[in-house]
Amino acid sequence: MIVQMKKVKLFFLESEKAAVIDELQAHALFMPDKKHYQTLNPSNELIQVSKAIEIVEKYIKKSTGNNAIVSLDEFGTIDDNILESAKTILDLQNTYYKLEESLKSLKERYEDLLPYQNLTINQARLDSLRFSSVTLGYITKEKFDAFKGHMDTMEAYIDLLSSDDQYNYVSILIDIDQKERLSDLLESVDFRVEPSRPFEKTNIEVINDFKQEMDALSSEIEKIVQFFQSSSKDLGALKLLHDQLLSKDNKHQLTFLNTESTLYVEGWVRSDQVNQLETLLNEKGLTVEMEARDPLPEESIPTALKNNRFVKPFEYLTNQFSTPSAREVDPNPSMSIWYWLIFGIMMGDIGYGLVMLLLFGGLIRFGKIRGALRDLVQIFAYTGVTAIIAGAAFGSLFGEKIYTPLLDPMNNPIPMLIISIALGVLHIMHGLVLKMINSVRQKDLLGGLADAGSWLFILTGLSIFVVGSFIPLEQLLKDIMLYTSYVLMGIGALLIILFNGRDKDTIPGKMVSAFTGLYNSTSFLSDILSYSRILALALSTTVIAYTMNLLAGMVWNSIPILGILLGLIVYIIGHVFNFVMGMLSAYVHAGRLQYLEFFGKFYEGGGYLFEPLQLQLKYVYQVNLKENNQNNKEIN
Amino acid sequence: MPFVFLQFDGITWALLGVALAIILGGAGSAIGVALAGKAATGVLGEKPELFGKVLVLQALPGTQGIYGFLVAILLLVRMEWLAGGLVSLPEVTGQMYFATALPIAFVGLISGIFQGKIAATSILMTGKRPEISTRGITMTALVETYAILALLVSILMWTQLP
Repeated sequence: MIVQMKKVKLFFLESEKAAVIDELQAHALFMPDKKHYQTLNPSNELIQVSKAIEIVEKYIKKSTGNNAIVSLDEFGTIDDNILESAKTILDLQNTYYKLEESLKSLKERYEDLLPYQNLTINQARLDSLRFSSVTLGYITKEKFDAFKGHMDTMEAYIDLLSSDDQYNYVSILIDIDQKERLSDLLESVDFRVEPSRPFEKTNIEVINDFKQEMDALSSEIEKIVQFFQSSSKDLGALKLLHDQLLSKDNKHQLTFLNTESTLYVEGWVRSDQVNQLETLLNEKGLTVEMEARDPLPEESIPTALKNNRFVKPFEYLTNQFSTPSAREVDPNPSMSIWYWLIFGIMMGDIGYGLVMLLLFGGLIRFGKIRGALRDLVQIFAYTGVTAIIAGAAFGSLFGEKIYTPLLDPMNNPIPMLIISIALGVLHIMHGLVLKMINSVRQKDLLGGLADAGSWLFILTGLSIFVVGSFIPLEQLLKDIMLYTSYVLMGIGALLIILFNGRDKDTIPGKMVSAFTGLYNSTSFLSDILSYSRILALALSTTVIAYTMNLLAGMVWNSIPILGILLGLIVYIIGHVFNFVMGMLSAYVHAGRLQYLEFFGKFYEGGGYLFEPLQLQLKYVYQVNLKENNQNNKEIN
Repeated sequence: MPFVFLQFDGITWALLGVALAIILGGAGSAIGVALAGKAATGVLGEKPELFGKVLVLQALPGTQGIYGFLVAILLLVRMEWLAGGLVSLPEVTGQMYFATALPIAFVGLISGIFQGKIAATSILMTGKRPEISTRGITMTALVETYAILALLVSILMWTQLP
């Protein structure tokens, strides 16, 4: 259900500002109006801490320190040492990048020099020769012979220093007068000349120096990585700090209207929590003046949903479509039951239902998951029950028929088709009833009668007509049913003709609206037929499971021993595939039936959720409030 | 004789139907999933964290192939091909098998391709606004309605096959 909201004004002393905001945030009862929020960039500390977390998590295999449960006192005290270690991590990350950069350039120089390690004299001396000139460089192997010929004609002395897959690396010794000619020639034969590297040591010594330097750099980098890895023990503390800073930032976004010594803030409180808020603030000895009133008609009210444990996760599905508006009936209780039922029938297998119940139930029980994922997993765990029930009706256990079932859609789909359509009619009528309730609430009874009441009459009449004409009954009873149905359908049609054009002034206008109203019957027809997908998807799960069993059986019997193994593999992969695809189809199509066929009849949406000022928990799982044992959990 | 230009025996007709169901259904899905996949890889290049949401959308056009496969297997089972007990089918019966495969074959092909296109645009939308990916899923599922209806008709035809 949607909880009534109260508009609350709070006046308090400037000197007690921090205490009041802390209380409000810790207990998550009060949602300040949008006008009290200013957008601020995240604080430097927060950015540093979240970067530090990111860095450390990159170097460890499994993320740790999530989902801590802390007390409010612990959450309130910020540990500066941790902030310092976050800064250290950031600094080290910078050093790490620098070291890697220099390692990389060193490695390039090392690799450039490696082919010339056999040069016996140091390169600085090569440049200072008086009568001859030495050129170092490399040329592709294919062109080497031609190059050699040229050099011979120039009377140059060449020395092959080394060679790899592609190139020969050589030194060329030539009379210094010929130097100009040589460089022209070298260009024409595609010989690449190395730039001069005036090392004082021989190349082999330089290379050894490089090696040592690179080793030193690598070991420094290794040390930093080890530090990052060992920092994983601080990860829990870092994550706590992250949430603390996030909550602090959240508080700082609030601005207040003020006089010299008092502050004023306006916002929303759930009407069932107004007293709680008042006692809370009074207990703490804070001087707070509180004023609560009912919302005005023109105010846009946030939507606070309060549902039982079964309905709660389904709120996620509705909010994905659109958040309910605070002035309409909550669609969640109705929707949850239909989704639960339809999803289950679409899965329709005892085995798959059991897997859903155990797998997703286990995840909820033992895995600390939260947010949207938790809602979805919870929904899947619930629908496991209906899947088992539907599976029992179909007599299907992992696609194997274990007894003569109540319904056998594979051999005789017609009864199941009728059930699907009947579910559809009921579902749509339920939607129409909700539309009537909304109309009454909005004091638009005529509109409700024309849009929803009329179709309720027609659909009821139609259902009675179908039952009366297709089920063998006594003649008298049959006649009674048929005439009742005619009357009901007549009333429905009359309601449409009379009231559909209620906004139109002219007689022709009213006639056109009456006609378009009646023409809506095509959309109702297609909506109802749309429910045949329940049969189709139930069938497809069953038949694919059956097919997988068939295939596995064929492989099983094909070769002795090895066949059993292969058969098992086919069986498992086949069923996992069918389970996953079946879940996906059921999720999508059960959702579609709610969004289009059901919500289309009555749901307006377009509201926004009640999101009180609260602790911002991204990593911390929950903060225990000692005084009243309440939990302030993440709401998203 | 409805198909005067073709002269097959019953079993060939039936097998042609089986083949058509799986060929066209599978082709439609393959094209659709690939279309969606193109968009998906583009989005993932920028936002790898959306993999879960994008994968669901990409998988949606995959169902037509499964429906085609389903009808193919149903037909094979009914004609006792898998059990090996099949001897021969009258030509008219074979043509009935063939006709049974047609709805899912053709609608599967076409809806698979078009569902892929919607899935691709929904994936792009998810890239921009991940929080409303469910609406994209719903819109993509609208296209599949007709594949489901075709599957249903194929199955209803199949139930009364001799």
